[in-house]
Amino acid sequence: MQPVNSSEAFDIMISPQFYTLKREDLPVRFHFQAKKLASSVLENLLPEEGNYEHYVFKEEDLWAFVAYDPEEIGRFLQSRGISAEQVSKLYFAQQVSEKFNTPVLLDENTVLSNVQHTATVVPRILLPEETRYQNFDTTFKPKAGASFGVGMHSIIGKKEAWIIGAIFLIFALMFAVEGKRYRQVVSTLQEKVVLLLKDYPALQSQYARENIAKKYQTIDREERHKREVLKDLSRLVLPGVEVESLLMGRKSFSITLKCPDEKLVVRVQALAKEKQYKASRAGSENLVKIEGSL
Amino acid sequence: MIWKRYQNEAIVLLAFVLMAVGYLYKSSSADNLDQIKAEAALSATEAGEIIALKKQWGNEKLTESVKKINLNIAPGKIKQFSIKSKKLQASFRGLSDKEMNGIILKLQNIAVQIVKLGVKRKGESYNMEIVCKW
Repeated sequence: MQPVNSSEAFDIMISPQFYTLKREDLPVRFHFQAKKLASSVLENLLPEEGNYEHYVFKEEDLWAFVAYDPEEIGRFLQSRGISAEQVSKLYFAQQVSEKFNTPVLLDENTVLSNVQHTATVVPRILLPEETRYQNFDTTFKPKAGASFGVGMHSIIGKKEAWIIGAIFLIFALMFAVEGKRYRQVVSTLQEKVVLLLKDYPALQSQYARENIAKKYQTIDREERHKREVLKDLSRLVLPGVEVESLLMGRKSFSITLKCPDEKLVVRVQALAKEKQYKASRAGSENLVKIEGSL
Repeated sequence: MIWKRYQNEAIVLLAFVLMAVGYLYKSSSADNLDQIKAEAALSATEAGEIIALKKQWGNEKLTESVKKINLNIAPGKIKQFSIKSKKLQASFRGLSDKEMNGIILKLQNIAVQIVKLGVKRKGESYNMEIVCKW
C-alpha cells in the first residue's frame, strides 16, 4: 500500500492478514444474538495478547465471525500516513469475497483473491502469468461495515462511556418526568384557583381582593367589638341597677346606670374598670357613668 | 475528526448536559410549584375569607331579619321604622325594659353595622333610637 498524504476521511477495506475469520452454522436468527456469541466463537483462534473487537455478518446460511485488533490496524494505517480518526468505516475483504474471483493486486508481489469462498492474500508468483487483474474501486464497498477510529484516544472506554452516559440519561429522564409532573400540578392548582374565582369575578384581581378584604375585616372587627361591649355592659346591670341612658355611636359609647345603694355603685365601678372602661360617679344620686371608645 | 477522537468523552458530556438540563428543569418546576402553591393557598384563603365575611356582613337576606326587630312591639310604641337602601332608622317610645332588652339582643344577633344606638329612660319606660346599615 502506497503512503497517503491527505486529511480526508476514508472507508478502508482490510485484507485477511488483519483479521481472523470463522464461519459457524449457529441456530441464531438475529445479528445482535450472533454478535453476543462472537467472542466465544473466536476465543481459541486468537492470541492471548491483543485487544480484539468483533464483527459479524451473514454469509448465505452461515454466520461469519471476524476478530480484528484496532490498534494493529491503526498502527498500520499510521505507517501509511492515515490517522485512525480519518477512517469512517472499516470493511473486511471477506464481506465481498465473490468479487475477488478476479484477483486484485495489493502490491507488486501479492494479490487478493477468492480461494474456496475465502478472500485470501496470495503471492503473485503462484498465479499464472496470463492472469488478469481488476482495479479496486467503489463497487467493492459492502452495505455495512464496522465503525473505526472512534474514541481511540479517549480516556474513557467505549463501554464505560455508554454505561455512564446511560446512567446520566436515566437521571435526566427521571428529572424530566418529575419536572413534568410538577408542571402538571402547577396547572391543576392554577385551574382550581381560576375555578374558585370564576364564581366571584370581583375577586379575580389581587388588588380588588385586598380592598374588599380590608373593608369587611374592618367591619367585622368593629362590629364584633361593639357587640362585646354591649355584652359587657349588660353584665354591669346587676340586680337592682337600672339603665338611665345608653348611647353607642361609631367611635364611642357611654352608659349611665342608677344603683340603689353606695355598695353597688362601688361594685359597678370596679367591674367597669376591670373591663378597662372609664367609670365615674355622675351627680349627687347613685349614678355611675361608664364610657369607652370603640 | 476531533469529534471522533473524543467520542466517548462527548457521549458522557452530552448525557451529563442532558442530566443537568433535566435537573434545572425539575428545580425550576419545583420552585414554580412552591410559588404557585403559596399563591393558590393565599388566594383560596383570601377568597374564602372574603366570601365568608361578605356573606355575613353583606347578606341580601339581612333586610328580612332587620324587619323582624320590631316584632312583638306594640305599634303605638313605634315612632319610626324605615328601611331605605340597606339602612334602618327606627325610634321607639315607652318601651318596657324587657322590650328594650329584646330589641338590643336582636340587634346584636343580626350582622348589621350599628351606627347609632340610643336609649333614654323616661320614668318607668324607655325611649330608643337605632340607626344601622348593612
